[in-house]
Amino acid sequence: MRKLWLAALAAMAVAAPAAAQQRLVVAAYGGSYERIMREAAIPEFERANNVRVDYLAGNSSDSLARLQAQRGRQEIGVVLLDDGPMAQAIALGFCQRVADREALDSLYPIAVMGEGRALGTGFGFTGIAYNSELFRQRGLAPPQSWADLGRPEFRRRLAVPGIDNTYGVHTLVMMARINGGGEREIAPGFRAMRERVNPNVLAYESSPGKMSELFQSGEIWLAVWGSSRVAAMKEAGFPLEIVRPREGAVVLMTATCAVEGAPNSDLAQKFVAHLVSPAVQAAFAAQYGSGPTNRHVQLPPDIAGRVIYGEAQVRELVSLDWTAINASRTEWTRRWQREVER
Amino acid sequence: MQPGTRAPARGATSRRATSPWVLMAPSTIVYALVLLAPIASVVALSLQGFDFGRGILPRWDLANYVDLATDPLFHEVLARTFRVAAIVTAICLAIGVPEAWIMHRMAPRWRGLMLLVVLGPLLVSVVVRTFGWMVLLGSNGLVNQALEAIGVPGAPFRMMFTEFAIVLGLVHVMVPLVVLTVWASLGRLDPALGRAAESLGAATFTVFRRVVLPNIMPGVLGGALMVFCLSASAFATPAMLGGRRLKVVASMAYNEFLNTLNWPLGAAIATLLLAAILLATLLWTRFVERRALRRLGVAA
Repeated sequence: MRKLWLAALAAMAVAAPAAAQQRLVVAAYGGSYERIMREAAIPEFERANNVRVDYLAGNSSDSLARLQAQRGRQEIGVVLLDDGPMAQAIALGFCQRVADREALDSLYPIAVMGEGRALGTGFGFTGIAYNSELFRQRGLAPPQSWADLGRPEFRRRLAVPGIDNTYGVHTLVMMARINGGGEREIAPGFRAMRERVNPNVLAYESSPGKMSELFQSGEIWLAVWGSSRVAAMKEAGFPLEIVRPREGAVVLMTATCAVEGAPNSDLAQKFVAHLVSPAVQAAFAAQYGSGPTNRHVQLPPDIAGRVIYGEAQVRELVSLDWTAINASRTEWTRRWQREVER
Repeated sequence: MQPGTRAPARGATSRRATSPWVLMAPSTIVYALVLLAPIASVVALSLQGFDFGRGILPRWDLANYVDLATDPLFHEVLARTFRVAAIVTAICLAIGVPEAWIMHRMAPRWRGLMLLVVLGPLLVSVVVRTFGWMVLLGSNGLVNQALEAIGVPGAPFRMMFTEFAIVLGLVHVMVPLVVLTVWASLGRLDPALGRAAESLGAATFTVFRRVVLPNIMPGVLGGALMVFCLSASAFATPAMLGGRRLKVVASMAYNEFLNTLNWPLGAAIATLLLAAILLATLLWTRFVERRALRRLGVAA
């Protein structure tokens, strides 16, 4: 027995150098995004820098909540968030300035957030997803406008993500914009949601997993959703299509930043630069359907046709004023819970 | 009472007086650490402020509570939470008490099997169980398909995302708790009592109502209390089957913590839920349970 203990101790002593390997905690999206990260981005980085990456899966609001919970003693080194929450993270002081000038300069200017505190990693858009097979069977015209969310034949067949979710915020702002308002004049959006959209909504659903389930069970026929989520379901063989409404689809950029005050900040900075490197960007374009933010990424034609490719295409999308939105988001959330989500 | 035995006896008494405290110390410390400390910090958090741009504000006042007290949405959600909990409790008692009685009277070889069947819902993860209900209750779900097939007028019915779905999902998992507590009471019941009543000419139902039911009342009431508390604080089932429109207090607190990031407000909601459940428990034991036990002659 004694010998066994000694052997165990010796084994631990031998293993110690390996355990001293540095760790980097990355908080990012779950689901298909996590799989691609683990296959296409993380292993190479671990090898090159002799580091172990721990992946914390969660959506933007979860990751942001974690940052807030650990304020002052951050464990998360790198965080990936939607552009809206990232603007908030920057405002809350969670992001360090990006140190790698080369990485910074390789991006389209539109993908650099908060004076270089966060970098966009991929472009997608929010549009209206619909079950194309069901629409064909029932002889329904595909949606073309944000106003189509209020079409009476969609009664209880629509799902809209909640306002905690970026897609939900996009819906509200677009409903305001097409009704004569906007980010700074949100009242028309609330009125349209309440009076025209809400009767059609079966459920306000923020979770991508449950949204897929609602589509698959045929409970909903259409939903406000993101291009990459739709791409993932299409890839799995589900007849889902996404339209860019005629008033414009809303650009949704995923963004990353190195967290202020976290350990191993040099590694975090390196990982951020790694995420916007052409190789990783190309992998995400091919597998996740997100458009590259790095100007130097060359995509094969079949993939280039599927994603938002180049600044010109980004400019065709509607982009929102997140400073204005974040300033009034608490109040919108309050109103949404009281007026819309009923 | 011999003089010689006195001194050691006193030593034993003082040891007897301190030893309960010494023996209780480990569990007291554990409870203080894992139960009281978190609750205290939640209460402390609920007194602070929040700003979307600046995070938690180092401020100490009752603003969050004033907010909630004057918020019609919170009133509505609180009312829904307790309404659902009350309905679930009533249904669980109506199903669970007779179920336990019937099982108690079964042949022993069936009893074990049936107990396993009854406990089934507790063995399945809440997510799987709830997804199952989602599949069954949808407008294209099995229940509606069946109703349409047999030509029920008005089908398909809207069942998902209603209070009905929440109640159903909760009853499904809570019935076993009533069965178990009542089962325990039935085990302590002297079988001779029932036979005595029968020999005096009581019908089976009368035996149950006049003899068995009063005797198992402690189990029934304890089960009811457990079901009520768990239903009022349930989160996953109401959130998944009711959707975001039908909020309950627990899902409202979750929203504040994880979506709005307004932790202080979430903490205030959680504190109020805890206080409301505690109050309901105290009232229940004070007025219902004690009266029932007094009838039995258990409590003074």
